[in-house]
Amino acid sequence: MAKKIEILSLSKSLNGKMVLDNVDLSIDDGETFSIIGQSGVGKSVLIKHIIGLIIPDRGKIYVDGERIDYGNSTEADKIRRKFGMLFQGGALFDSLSVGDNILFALDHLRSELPESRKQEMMLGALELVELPGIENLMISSLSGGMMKRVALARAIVAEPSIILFDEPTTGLDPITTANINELIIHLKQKLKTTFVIVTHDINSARFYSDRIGMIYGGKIIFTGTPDELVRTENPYVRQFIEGKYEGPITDDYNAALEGILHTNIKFKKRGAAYGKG
Amino acid sequence: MMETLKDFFQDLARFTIFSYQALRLIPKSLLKPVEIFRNISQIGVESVPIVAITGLFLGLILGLQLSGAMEAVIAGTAQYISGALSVALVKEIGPVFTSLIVVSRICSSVTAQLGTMKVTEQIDALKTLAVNPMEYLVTPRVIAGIFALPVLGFISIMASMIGSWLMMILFHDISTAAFIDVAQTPLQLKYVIESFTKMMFIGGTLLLVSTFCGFETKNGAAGVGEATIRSVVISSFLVILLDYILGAVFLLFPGGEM
Repeated sequence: MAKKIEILSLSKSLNGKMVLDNVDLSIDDGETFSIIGQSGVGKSVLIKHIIGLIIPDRGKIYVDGERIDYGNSTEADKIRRKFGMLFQGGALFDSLSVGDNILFALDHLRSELPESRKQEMMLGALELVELPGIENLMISSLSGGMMKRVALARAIVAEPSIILFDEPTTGLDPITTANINELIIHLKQKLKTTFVIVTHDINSARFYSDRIGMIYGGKIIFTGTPDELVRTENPYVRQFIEGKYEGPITDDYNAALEGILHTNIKFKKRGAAYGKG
Repeated sequence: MMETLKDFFQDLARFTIFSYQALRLIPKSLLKPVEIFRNISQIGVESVPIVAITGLFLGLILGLQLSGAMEAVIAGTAQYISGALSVALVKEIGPVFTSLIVVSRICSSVTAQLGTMKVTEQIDALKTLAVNPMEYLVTPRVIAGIFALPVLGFISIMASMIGSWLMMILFHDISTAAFIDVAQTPLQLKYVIESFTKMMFIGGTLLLVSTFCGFETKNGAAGVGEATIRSVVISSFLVILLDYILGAVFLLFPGGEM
């Protein structure tokens, strides 16, 4: 199958901490790939690299065989037009109405289209996310679940070939979560585009993914189908998917915490010694 | 100490790059006047009432106090204070006073608005929609600042003059003709040019600082609060500093001295 996205030896440090360490990943055309991992492990950082919102320290990213050239804004914009992105909090423009938010995407991504066609596409996108008739509402009057769906409508309206989802179900109640998951499956059947989904909701990921990758310690420690994920012997993956407190992830965390405390105690002791002298 | 200095120079370097990117987009932005008009309306038109009212009261109090003082020094000379007032208002008080009102009304809201857009990923969302956030959010505001501040300053100065005129005709029985005549005598065209140039420069700088602080916002709602404080404090300080520097620069021009 053709490679849609290819990431080669990607590394990124943020605030002195190595968030991504030599990450290699390829995502096939038309597949739904989920990236799972704990909060703050670099999942969002990874998809923001894919769409060029974050510039890597090292490494290359290819989309449809074309390398993203971060220095050239025209080229970067050209590649960005292949993407739609659903942000964690929706990132809807609160000064605009629902319809204008979606039209804003069309005005900038598909400016060549006539206004009547844009209106049609806007209404069609709202229909796809099962929210017909709300185009005149202001963003502030929407619930969390509706916001996600409107944001999703804005992400898909310009007919991108890759859709990135940053935590599509975080912060939603179980019923709305199930509803969004169904919607993802439904959209996949309709659009047949490549989906890259970042989540820590393991059940959701198993529900809609073709393949799942897990990030830990800045590296991709597992990739495979949902079935392979369930059967894997990797202790890190097992602890994560079983949601257990005891395991190698907690051990690593405690070791790191001890390291920090130890350094602080050393500093305190030294400070006390200076105080006495 | 070294860390603070390092941070300061890093911020200054980022601000310089930010300003360069924003100013470079001015010609492109001028081709899309809709955004500029929208911002002139927000920054300029909506500030007219507050600028006019504060200007009027400033004039009222200055007219009342100074003409009284003048009268106390030499009886019957209260009208001469209108000349001093017109020069002081045009050259210094008008530009600085208007700029400080703009800082409190505009810089705070621009930083809070852009800061919120930053922490809720709306600025990232713009990029994913192939929109350059600098071109869409920053440059039109900077252009609006450059054009709006001189007009607001003019309104403020006129309101202050009306205020002082009111006090003088009410309390010192000075004729309107005498007031206008004395006000015009020391006023020179170059003072007006200096005043307007200063305000254009300060207007652009204030909007650059407040948009920069908004774009640099981190750490959620608390970060937006911090960014807003930073924006207002730096902007207020810059108003006074720039007024001094530009005033000094104008003295270098031939005939610039008073």
